[in-house]
Amino acid sequence: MEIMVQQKFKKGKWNIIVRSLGNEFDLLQDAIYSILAQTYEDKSILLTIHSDNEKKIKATREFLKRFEDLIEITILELRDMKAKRGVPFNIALDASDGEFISVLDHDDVYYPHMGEVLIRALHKQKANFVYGNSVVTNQILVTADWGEQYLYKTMKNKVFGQKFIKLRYVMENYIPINVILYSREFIGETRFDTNLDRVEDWEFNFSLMEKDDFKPYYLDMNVSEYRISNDGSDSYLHNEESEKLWNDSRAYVRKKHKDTVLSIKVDDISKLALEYFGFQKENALLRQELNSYTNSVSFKVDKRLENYKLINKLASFGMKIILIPYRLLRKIKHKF
Amino acid sequence: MTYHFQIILYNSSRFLDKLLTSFDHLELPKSTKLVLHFMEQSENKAEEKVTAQKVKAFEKTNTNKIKVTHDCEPNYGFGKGHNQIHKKYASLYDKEFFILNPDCFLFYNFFAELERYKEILKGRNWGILEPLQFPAEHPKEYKAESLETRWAAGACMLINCEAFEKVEKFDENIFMYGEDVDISFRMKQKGYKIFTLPKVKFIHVTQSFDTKKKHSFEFIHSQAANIYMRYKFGNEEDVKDFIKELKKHPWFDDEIIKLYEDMKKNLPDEKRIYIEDFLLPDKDYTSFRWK
Repeated sequence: MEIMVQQKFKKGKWNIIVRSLGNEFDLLQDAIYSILAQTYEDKSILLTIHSDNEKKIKATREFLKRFEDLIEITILELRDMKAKRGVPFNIALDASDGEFISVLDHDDVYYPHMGEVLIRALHKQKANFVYGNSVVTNQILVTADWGEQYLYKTMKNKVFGQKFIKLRYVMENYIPINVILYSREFIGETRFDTNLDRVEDWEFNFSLMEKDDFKPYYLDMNVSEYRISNDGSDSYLHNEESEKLWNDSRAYVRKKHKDTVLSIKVDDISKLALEYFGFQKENALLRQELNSYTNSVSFKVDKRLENYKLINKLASFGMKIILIPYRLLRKIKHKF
Repeated sequence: MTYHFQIILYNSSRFLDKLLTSFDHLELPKSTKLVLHFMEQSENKAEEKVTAQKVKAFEKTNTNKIKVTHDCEPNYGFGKGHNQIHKKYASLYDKEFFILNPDCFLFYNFFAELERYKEILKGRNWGILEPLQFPAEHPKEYKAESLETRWAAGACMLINCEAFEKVEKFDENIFMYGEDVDISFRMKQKGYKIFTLPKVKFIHVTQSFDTKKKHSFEFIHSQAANIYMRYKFGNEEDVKDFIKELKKHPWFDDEIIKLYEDMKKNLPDEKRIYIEDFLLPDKDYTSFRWK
């Protein structure tokens, strides 16, 4: 009997998910060209149109036609306007066929070497979750002398980017999704939570972090631009209602992962303890954030005396800490 | 209107397919025609053959009916190379022509947007129109309301032929890097304006994103040009101050001073023009929106 082995994901291929609402073609155009600019060649776009407006859907399809000869674009329509932000991502994940996958918001852009350097790092480090830095870019809507309006960049100087530390990620979503490249095989059947309209990427990565074979790698290189504009095109409006949605979403994620048990290196705890409680006492918000985890996440750590004081300090904030000698960690893992 | 593009190739065959695809992908206004003039300067027979084949094949198949020329010349560098192409083909040009780097890709609506701006800027006596580099926009400032800028970057620029002739073309003392700044300031001295066009966009895989390029060459040549322009448009004090600071840089190399001395030697005194505002209060000629 002949056995057919079908490879699920095409080796070397990189899928990029771009989520569109069927409008803002100027921004979408930039996102697509930033993908075309990639020095990594084997790539395709999974473009979701989340709209129930037939005119918008048609217009988006028309707009995309001009790129058909330049790059493979799979258009995925989602007409259910009650569907939350994670749904289009899940549709795209289901349609993906590449070894690597990443997500680019329609109003951000990749730098030309994003794919090349992150894929190289993923291979070299045998990682399955690699990420670089995103450059924060402020854009303001200006009016030229003849009445034309356009976005004018005024600042580009802050960079998101820090080494991956589980404990830090539990406390804050410090990795923007537009800097991450995932191994598709590693994602497997994990999907975005469809109840969330904020921090869905945080929850998604949180779920990945819980997998035993999670292997992150941080490459200190600028790979994308995180664009902030004052023209109303930002995905998030900052008002009271929006703030509540953010807080509720964070609370939802914490509740969902309340039984999570993470292995955390003592060194990492030390670093964060110093950062949050030692040198940045003024950072009350983060402190509050950490406190909100006290009853939801347990940490098991290897025991090293030199860090004992710091662990105690963390514990004094109410965090549940179980000290386990590193050599025993594997043996007893199943009990947690 | 027929636009002529001058494109210098130097071991650029790896970029050529993308560049040519970009031209095929353009949505051209009805009356717009394009001619691409490639000058291969690699002095490498294999490279010359590859690029010649690629551009000839493109001419036969491209849907925009774009014409091409392909010449092989010694490695003149950037400014002299463009002067040579200009010398050979300027009789065919209309009132303006483009220079373009091979590692670029034009947005599909490049010419529709360009025509719109040209209409707006009619009568503004422009010397250079500078499309916007994407995705890493050049950090230099342009005035948000008038679009005027101090100088235009050479990766892609539309040059007014009359202004180009008046300033006697690119300064051939500069081998590479800085010639765009030089010509911009000389044009402004003659009363021409330089504008940035924010909606005319082109992809440029700039040095920092090209993982295969050596960056020391750029540093050495650009810093030599930086000293030279201070000598040309400023005074001896500006030169001294700059060299003093430069020597503190970890990448400083004596080669920079040697290159500068060679350029200086070839610059007749009458070509030195004192430009009062060439250097800003921070002693840089560029006003940055960010650094």
